[in-house]
Amino acid sequence: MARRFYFALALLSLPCLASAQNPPEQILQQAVALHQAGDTEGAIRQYRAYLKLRPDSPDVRSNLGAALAGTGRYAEAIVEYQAALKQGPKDPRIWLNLALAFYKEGQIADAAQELASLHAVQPANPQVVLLLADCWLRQGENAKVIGLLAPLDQPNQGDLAIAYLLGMALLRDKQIDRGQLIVDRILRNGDSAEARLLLGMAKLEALEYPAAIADLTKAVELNPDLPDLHSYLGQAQMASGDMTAARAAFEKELAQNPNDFESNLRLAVLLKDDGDYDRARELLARALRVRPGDPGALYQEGAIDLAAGDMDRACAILEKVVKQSPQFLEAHVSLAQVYYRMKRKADGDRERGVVQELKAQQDANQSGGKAQ
Amino acid sequence: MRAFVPIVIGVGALLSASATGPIVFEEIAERSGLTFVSDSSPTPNKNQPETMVAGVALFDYDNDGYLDVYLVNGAAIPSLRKESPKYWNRLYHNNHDGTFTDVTEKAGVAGEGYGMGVAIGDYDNDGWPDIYVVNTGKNQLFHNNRNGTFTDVTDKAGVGGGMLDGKKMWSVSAAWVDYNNDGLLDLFVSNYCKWEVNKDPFCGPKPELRAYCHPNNYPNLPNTLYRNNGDGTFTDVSAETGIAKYYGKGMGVAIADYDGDGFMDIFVANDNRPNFLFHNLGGKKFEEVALESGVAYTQSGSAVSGMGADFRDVDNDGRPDIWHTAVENESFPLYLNRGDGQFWERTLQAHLQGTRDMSGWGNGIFDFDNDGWKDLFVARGNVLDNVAQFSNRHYEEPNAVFRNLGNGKFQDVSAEAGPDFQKAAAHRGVAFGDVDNDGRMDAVVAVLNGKVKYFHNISKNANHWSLLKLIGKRSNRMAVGAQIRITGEDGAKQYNQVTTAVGYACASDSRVHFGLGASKTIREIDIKWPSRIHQVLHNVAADRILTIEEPAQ
Repeated sequence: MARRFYFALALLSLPCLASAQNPPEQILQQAVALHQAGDTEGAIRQYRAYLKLRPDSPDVRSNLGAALAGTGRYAEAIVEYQAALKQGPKDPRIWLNLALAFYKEGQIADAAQELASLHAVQPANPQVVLLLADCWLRQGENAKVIGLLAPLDQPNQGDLAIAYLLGMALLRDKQIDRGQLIVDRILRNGDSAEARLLLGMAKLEALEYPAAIADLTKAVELNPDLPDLHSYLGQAQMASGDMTAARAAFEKELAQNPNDFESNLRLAVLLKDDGDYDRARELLARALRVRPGDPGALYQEGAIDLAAGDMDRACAILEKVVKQSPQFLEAHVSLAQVYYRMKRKADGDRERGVVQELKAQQDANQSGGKAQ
Repeated sequence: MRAFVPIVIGVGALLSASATGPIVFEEIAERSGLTFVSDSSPTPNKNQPETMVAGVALFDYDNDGYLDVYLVNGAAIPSLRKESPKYWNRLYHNNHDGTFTDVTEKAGVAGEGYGMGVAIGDYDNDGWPDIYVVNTGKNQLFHNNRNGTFTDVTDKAGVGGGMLDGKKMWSVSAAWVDYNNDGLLDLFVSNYCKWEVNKDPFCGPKPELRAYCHPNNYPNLPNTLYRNNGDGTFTDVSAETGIAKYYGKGMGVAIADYDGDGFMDIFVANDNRPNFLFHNLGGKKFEEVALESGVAYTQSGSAVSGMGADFRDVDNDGRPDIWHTAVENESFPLYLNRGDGQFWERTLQAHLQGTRDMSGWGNGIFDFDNDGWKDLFVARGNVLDNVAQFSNRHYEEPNAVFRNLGNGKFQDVSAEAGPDFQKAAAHRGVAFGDVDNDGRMDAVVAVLNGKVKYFHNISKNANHWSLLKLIGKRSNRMAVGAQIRITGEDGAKQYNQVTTAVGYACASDSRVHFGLGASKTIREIDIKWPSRIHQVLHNVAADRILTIEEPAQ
């Protein structure tokens, strides 16, 4: 039920091999044998040797991609899968492998794009549906997830993977009541880490931090490997003010789920506050690979440059952020600070005007009833 | 420049310990006779002022050479009047033997309204410090009658507080400052927000759990500036000086001449609003320059919950810096003055990121171990009395002290500051001063709905010190705004200034304290008086309280 995705296929069958006796075929035979025997590096060498002689072999290229992915060399695998898809008809298996390689590489936007196209071709493929939903969740595209999964939920009431992903999207989309119905349904199947995670998310959304932490901690006891769990626990701990615990939780999430956007971003903020700019930059770069152009992550990059005194870089990034998100108050504030530091008074004054305008708008929109 | 022969009015005991030890305080309020218990009248309606009563003043009201203590109290709700003695503000006379006597009734300073803070200044230059109490309602000015009693002269003086839309604005802090260098102390008052008793909106994480509202639930207010007319009256010049143009949620006020132009500037820590830095334009007007100076928002672009503030040089470079407190998850920003009109937030570089876990109120920048580097002290406590019911936070927090390591960094040394210092409480305001004239800076801390704490500094080390009492002649008598540079035997320079406006809603010792480290003499004391008279003293012995009068020219 947990969102765990493995490579759909390790290697494609190559029926022509049995009769192949000439040198290229011998090389390929060796490559497949090595691959099947678990000697992935040897297989990669032999696949490459074969492709030097027979470059137009999409199935072999796909196998090379699978071998590369098997050793964690996803970027190289992506090149091979893309080449394979160009050389032959779009084999859905290679296509899915390409999407998975993007996913593993942290290029979630590219993975989502490939999966969305693949889903149009294979709408009933459950692996494609779940993986696409997962990508969209990571991108914060909650409405898309709901649109994808809600029609599948009724006819698949027993499918807890769908229920879980849909529940998560609903809670993130602040559709708490709808989300709660799904949580209840999952709970009817007994206590589980997934149910506790969803409960914790709902409580976090309701600002009930101790209760959220209690549920999320229970979920950790039930299944510490559940994706996103440590990320949400970290968020609840951060909101509750326990930064040490939050940092540890984000680190745990990233150890098993290096491309979790929230953990990368929030841990980067904590590290930035501790002055560990190098690692914070690394995490932000990863967050931006998951959500390219995300203004929050970009802003944090600019804020680090401002803190580190790199005004030119800070200026370039913050100008980009305010262009992209003109209502982003903190970015305007930081940009004004940068301009004043750079002695660009006219630009600083202009940004100061924008800040005052946005602040006035915020004040006008201020609603009552918010606790300290 | 002629050297002025200092008058030695007190000689503190030389410290006998050989090595610099930890900064240590013992809490001795009860045994000293400081029996004050504040009462903010907490109600189920969660009126905003209930969590903010804070005022403490350390000042020598009877000129006997020892600091006395004034403490501000709340009032009944909804009347906002001091309906019984339990709501009285209290004045405690220092008996010079480590004890105090409550002289409130005799002095006539119990106050009338729902109190917030206090400012001390000698507004009529008679040499006797006066008391200004800020309230949610009408503020009060108590004139010192020089005989142990005070007279409420608020109406005559015209300093009851700024009005907006026909209603007196809720004041939190005040600072006496001679903004136009005419030799008379003027009065700056920070105002918080529009508020009416028992009309706070409902705030809280759930219907059955009401909490004090976030400040954003209340409209902002401008601050007030009174110019001293020199005849016992004041004129509200908030509009003509430009102060009234800026609306915020004023909390702590601190003053310094940050750009060295000879005119005092004013910093206001705003709660959840960008801070204000009012740059003094030649004693005539103010321009608000916090954003362009880099002190309106933190480095990350956030307007934090500004609470208390102090404005003085922490890195001995001769330029006043700003350190203000905030609440949990925000850190207490330290802004270092770069000397070009800009400040640079250096909270992380100063190793103050640990303040992110703290909720701070009053604060101060003083050298508690006399090593020649000013340290940091913060009075702590969460804003919300029921915070533990919906977070992992605690309402009561221990105070914190950070030692200045002299290399741009601070170290949280609270854990070594003695067992009394570890005790958590709902601390609010704090005033600093050398209460027993032993050369070590003490701290008196207000506790909301609790007993006041007197942290007697018992740090043991062989370091030397000097305490300077300046008496203005052409300048204002209290010498507020005088800039002092001292040079030790080793040539090291330190800078400080005369001010009583320190932290949140409190008034500290007007005498200027210097820790001298190993220096047994001060090679040079350089004073720039607000009158622009420049005075230099040479080879002054350490470990003394010196009274220095402003020369005629």
